[in-house]
Amino acid sequence: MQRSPWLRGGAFVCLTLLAAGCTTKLVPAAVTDFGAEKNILVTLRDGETVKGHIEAGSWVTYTSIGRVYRAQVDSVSLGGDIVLKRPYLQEEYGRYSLQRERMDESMLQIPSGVDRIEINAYKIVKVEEVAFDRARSARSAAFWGVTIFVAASILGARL
Amino acid sequence: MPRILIGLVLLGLPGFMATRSEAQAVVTTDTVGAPLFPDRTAAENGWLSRFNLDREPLGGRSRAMGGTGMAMPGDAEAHVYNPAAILGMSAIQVAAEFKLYSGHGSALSFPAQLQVTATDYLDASDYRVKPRGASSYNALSFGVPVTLVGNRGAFALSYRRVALTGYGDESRVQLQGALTSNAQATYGEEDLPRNGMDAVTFSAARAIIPQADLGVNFNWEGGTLKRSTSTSIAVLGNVFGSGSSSFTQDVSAFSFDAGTMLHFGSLQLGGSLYLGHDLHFRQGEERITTIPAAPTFDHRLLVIGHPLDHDLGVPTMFSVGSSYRLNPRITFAADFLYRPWGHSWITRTRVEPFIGFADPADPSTYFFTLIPATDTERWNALANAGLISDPSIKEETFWSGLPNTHSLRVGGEYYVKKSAKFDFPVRLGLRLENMPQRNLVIPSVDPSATGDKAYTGAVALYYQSLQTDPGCASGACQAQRDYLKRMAEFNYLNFLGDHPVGTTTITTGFGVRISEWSADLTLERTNFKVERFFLSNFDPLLNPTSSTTFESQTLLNIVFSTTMRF
Repeated sequence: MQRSPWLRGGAFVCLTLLAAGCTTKLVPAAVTDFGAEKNILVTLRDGETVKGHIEAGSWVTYTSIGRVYRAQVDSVSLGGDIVLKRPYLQEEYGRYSLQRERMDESMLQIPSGVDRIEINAYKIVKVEEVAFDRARSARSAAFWGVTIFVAASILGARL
Repeated sequence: MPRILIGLVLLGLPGFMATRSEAQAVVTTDTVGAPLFPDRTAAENGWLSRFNLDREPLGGRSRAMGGTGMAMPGDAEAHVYNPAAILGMSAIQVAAEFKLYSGHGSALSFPAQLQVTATDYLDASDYRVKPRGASSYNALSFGVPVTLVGNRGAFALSYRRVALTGYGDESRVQLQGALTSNAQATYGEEDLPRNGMDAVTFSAARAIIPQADLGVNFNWEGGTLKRSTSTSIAVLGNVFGSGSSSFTQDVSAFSFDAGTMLHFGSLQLGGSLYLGHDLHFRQGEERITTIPAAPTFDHRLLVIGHPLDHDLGVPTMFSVGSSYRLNPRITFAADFLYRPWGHSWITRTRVEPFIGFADPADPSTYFFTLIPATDTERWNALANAGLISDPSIKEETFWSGLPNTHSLRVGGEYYVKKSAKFDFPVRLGLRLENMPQRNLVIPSVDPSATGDKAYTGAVALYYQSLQTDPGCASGACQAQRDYLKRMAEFNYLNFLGDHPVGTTTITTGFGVRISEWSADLTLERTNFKVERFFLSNFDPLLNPTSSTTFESQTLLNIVFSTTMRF
């Protein structure tokens, strides 16, 4: 079957974008950005993080040491207090088990059956916006574009 | 071949012009054996005449600095020059490189006439030649710096194009004479080389002492060489005759390199050794589709031949180089590469040439045939008849005819901007080396014949000798026969001149590095003047009246490379 050059071109562009990905960077933000149309990364005192669109009703990712939860934002106060509801464990990394045991006392406990996590504003040490890094993405796309083109040329000549 | 065919076509041109509609009839094609491609190697048939076996420079920095790199710690692709140079890597990296090439040319001199038959000539004018443009991948490489037995080390793996099949070109000439009814016929040829020889290289390097590094390369080389030529003849823009020829053959080898680099503060010295090995040429095929023959133009031939398998001995080569960092922004480098291709030999099945005249009364019925030792039945029959000396020797080794391509390279680099996150270097370089092809000469055996009639002259001389010495017992007759046998067997190699084709390459380029990503753009401009066969890129000896042109050509490479560090 004759393959269309448009099809091949489209596949090449898709592969390039897939390989390049959309690289991101962290831009300083504030608790006043909660509720805005931004992807926010909140870092807590113990190294835990909340990432996502911080607005009531949105689903965010909450990470503790080696554990990744998904939870829905129940409420956000003007002062920056965040209440999450319906958390569930999404992923757990075994290699952090030792640290988890050691820091058990100081970690925010989420026993099973708990349906609310309250994160007080005073625990927040850093608020950043996860922004699209245009320059880095362009560099990445240029590199992977050339690399995939060369790889495709080699395969085309040899297969 | 093309010139024989042009003769066939032009002989019938006036009639054809009168009855062009009839020429649109279906052209029948007969497939025949290989009378035009007797048992010889592709090198003897001229197909490999422009095949460059030397390694392509690699890496934006080195290439833009004239191809220097022997004593410059570099990235993964630096193994091409010196395997120890990959210790310049500071992070895991992936790099890719490709090039676009083009060029232009002009004829400094060309024959004023083209001989079509023994008595017919066409005036030749406005001969033009132009290298073809194309693109090619150069390399995909991966490198990782490691700590190896307590010292700095590095590994690299690359897939790279070692050598292009060659640069193709297009040539055009206007022909006019009685055979064309004094109309101007445009004769054109396009030569299209494709593919080339690639290599997968695994490199390993380690610092031995703080001042000295060692490295090795293991190269698995292979590929398929392809060239094709298409020919057409047009009058007033109407193409009324076309033909083509093509060649393909697999090539493979394994080779080993070793290199070292010495550090003395700002001065660095490097050297590497590429060990000699054999390059195996296998499974060749040649094809010619002839231009439909005049005057009816309704019949053509497809001639298929199979070049003999052969091994080309690649001589051991060494290279030395130095680089000097004047200050953190300025670096100079100079390399010398000793590449004694003049000492390479070809080994293949032995063939025995036989020459004669089908009709002893007619010198124009000259023929030759080559009997390979692999044709056991005929070989033994001829051996038993005493026509083959030492028939038990069934392999033959002869000089490849390649010129030495020693290379002198110098280059410099200046960082306009240099910081932890951003670099902007500009580079300049110069390279002097020989082309892989030699200038051609038409040997003359007949002092009374002019150069372009030498081959015909040799046949005539032999025929005259046979008239007075039918047994060919005299020394002169035997010398003439031996000359014709050599011509029949080694074909293209008999036309190689003593003088190689010197090239001058000027390189320039710049690079950009932003954090973990870098890209380099390089321009290479290569100038040379070469003596070549007129209107034929390969198989020139199929025309008994060879002639040469003197051409000035310029090749322009634009090379883009990019590297990501992780």
